[in-house]
Amino acid sequence: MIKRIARLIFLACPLILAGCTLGIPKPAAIKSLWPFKSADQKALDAFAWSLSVAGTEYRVYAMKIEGRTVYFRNDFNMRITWNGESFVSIENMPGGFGQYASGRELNAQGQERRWYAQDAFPVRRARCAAASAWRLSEDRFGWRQTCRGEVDGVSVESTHVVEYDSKSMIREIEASVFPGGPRLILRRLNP
Amino acid sequence: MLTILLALGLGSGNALAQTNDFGVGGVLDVPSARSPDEDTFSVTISRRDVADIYAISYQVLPRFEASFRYIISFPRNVKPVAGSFCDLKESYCRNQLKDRSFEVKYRLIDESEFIPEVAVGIRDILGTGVFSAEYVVANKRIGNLDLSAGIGWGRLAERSIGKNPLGYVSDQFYVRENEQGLGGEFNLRSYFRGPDIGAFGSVRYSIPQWRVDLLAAYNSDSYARERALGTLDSADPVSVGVEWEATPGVRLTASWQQGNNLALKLSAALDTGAEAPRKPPNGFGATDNLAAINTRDKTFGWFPRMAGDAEASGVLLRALREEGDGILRMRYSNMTYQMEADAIRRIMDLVELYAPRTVHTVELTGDSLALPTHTVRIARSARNRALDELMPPTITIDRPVEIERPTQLRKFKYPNADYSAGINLRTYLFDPDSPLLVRPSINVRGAVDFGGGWGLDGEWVQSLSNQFDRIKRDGNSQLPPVRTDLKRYLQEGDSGIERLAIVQRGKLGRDLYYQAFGGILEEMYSGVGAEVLWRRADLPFAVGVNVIAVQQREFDKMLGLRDYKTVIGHVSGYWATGFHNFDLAVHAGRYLAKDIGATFEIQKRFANGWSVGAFATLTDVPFEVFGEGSFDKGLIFRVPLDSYTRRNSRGAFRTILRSINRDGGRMIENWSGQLWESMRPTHGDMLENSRDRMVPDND
Repeated sequence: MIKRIARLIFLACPLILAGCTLGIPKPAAIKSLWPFKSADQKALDAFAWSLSVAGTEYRVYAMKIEGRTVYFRNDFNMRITWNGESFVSIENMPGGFGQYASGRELNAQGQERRWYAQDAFPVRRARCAAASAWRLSEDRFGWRQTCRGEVDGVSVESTHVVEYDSKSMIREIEASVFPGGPRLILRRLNP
Repeated sequence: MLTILLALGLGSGNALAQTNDFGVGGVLDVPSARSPDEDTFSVTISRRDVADIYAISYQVLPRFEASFRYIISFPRNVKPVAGSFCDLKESYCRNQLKDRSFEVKYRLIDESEFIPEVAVGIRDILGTGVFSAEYVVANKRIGNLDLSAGIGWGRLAERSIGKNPLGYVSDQFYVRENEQGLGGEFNLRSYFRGPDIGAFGSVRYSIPQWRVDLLAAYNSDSYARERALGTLDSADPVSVGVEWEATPGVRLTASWQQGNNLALKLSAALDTGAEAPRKPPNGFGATDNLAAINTRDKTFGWFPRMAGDAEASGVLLRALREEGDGILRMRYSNMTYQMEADAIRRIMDLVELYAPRTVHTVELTGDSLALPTHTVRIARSARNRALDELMPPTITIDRPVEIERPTQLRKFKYPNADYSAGINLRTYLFDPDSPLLVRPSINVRGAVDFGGGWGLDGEWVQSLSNQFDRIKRDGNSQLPPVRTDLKRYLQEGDSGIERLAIVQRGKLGRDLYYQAFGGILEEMYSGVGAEVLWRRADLPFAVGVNVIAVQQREFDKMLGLRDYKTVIGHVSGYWATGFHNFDLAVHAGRYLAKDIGATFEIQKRFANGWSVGAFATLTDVPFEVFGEGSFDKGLIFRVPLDSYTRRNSRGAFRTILRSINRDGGRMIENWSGQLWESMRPTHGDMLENSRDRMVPDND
């Protein structure tokens, strides 16, 4: 708290006093510097995750768990559903990301494939190898799956990785948005 | 000065500067051979009975340290020592000198297991010589103990240990000339001269777990001048103190000096060359999210999505052409990011998210002042080709390539207006009666982009309070008062139009840029002018020419004009040397007082937005006509503001610190050389130095 108050003071004073013109900040910016948190917010922090995608980072909260499916939401109504293996839907991602869904299907030959559907793009598909376990240490292990396919006529691949901690709690979930696309990474913020 | 110190306290990082009271590496009031890492900028404030010292220092090269200081002697009007002749009439002994001085120090030998670190320094290379001294000093570290010993000339020879050894070279070294005239000149007849030398030393014992250093110093300066003036009744050579590192780079020192007075010192340091942390794009992120677009419209293709996200992130994607051979060409404008590489990185992030996989090379043409300045070609990462291992990206930086017949074009509405309001604090420094005067104000700035290179820019200053009425001294120039009327502008025009100028910018050839402008150009002058710059992004040098016809403004800073008018003009040469980030520039031509000469600039310029430098102007005005300081000179600082905020910002605080405001060798502020200054961050070397930041690492 002291750090945040100090930041508030330090932000304003030196810039003004050094002779530069300091723009009058928006109410939201002032609010973000307010050092005190409500009890609700503190409770919510226990379920906080960070979502990184394409150079941006969002805070989301694990709101509901049904079996292996986890539902994430945030203050801006972003909704993410992870079914224990993949991000099966993303709604209200800021900007032009659009509606997103992915899933599994069997092709005519009975081979399992993943499909990825996103606004403005044709459905992309990839064939996935069986998931394999990996272990770096007692508190870093999980499973990994590699999928390969063709997007816009170009051979690409994607990976799906889940990492657990020593209590077998998920620490990080990683998946390509689509084969060959940028990665979506969810990291648990609280131990 | 204090304020800059506070500003530094925010971003001090891991810069290490153990400065003495004079602002250079040392202990208490004596120098040592120690100096901080290259590019460390430090600010020191020390308060003693003898003097308050405000110093800024910069480690210009790994071995070369430079420091500028302002000394207010006898700052708290301590009563003269009882019984001294000063008792007869206090004003006899008023030691209220306010002095500026410039110190340089060079490390001759690096420390090794058996060899100490050795440095040589000159404490007052250009000033009036009140604290004038030279020294050779050595340091050796033994565990947590840092021992220092040196010999000194000038004031550091007041406690003599013997004859000046340089006298064996020439008898002239026994004679020290203390007359410094108008200041501002090298006085080669005083350096390392004098009949005697003195010996000084210091000890620094570090206790890292407490972040505390215990200090002791033996000073060969006997403070004879201060004792004679009654500031001190005696001066014990030994001083002791304790230094605490409050946060990395910020150090507080309390000491008992000369055996009779408490001294305090605060210093802060930062590394101006440190890589700036990359920040998330504005408009996206955990606390600041823009709305999702209406995704029901399926015709809304990938380029509008990418362009929309880019604009929300602070980058305008103006035009696009997708070539059949997998090359995607885009024209962009960086509106937000301090580092051009961060704007490129943001576009590449969005390319990864939106552009078809068939695109294997992205060619981005960026601009400055809305004029295309460079093209960066980036091969998309190998990740997209199903290779098992990532290949390093191929990036080439080139002269700007215009996109012919773009397939997608963002049409912006013109005229496009922008305004902002903010609080400003104008300072007036180094007045002998009041060294720091301020005027807080509300500044309202507006800019209109008419398209086609036409723009209008203006600023109104509304004073909230004004201390400038305390300025008493008038300029006593023998030249036309082209700048020394500043007092009247500050007093009679505390509120008024700061700037209101129309400008037209464009290109006359692939590498030839121009701007023509007219209106109220700055606080003191209106006029019309033009500038032409030849520069290539892939070459380290450029040449420019500017001519401006100006007329002095009325002191009330409204629309009226005074009688004085002239034409100034300069031919400029610029060289980005690549040597330790040094930029050199020379501007030769005619100045406001109709004097003719040249300005020499040297700046260290970093991709993170920082620049630190100095300039000097020599014209046909004789030193005695110029007045105090002999010629115009000063320090240049550009501090990127995004160092102090969580958001990306292209804003910067750029200032020129002159020790004295005179009329010779003066230009119009902010217009001469503006094209080069504005385009410099997009030059090839700057982009090369930050190429690693351009490519998404996707984590």
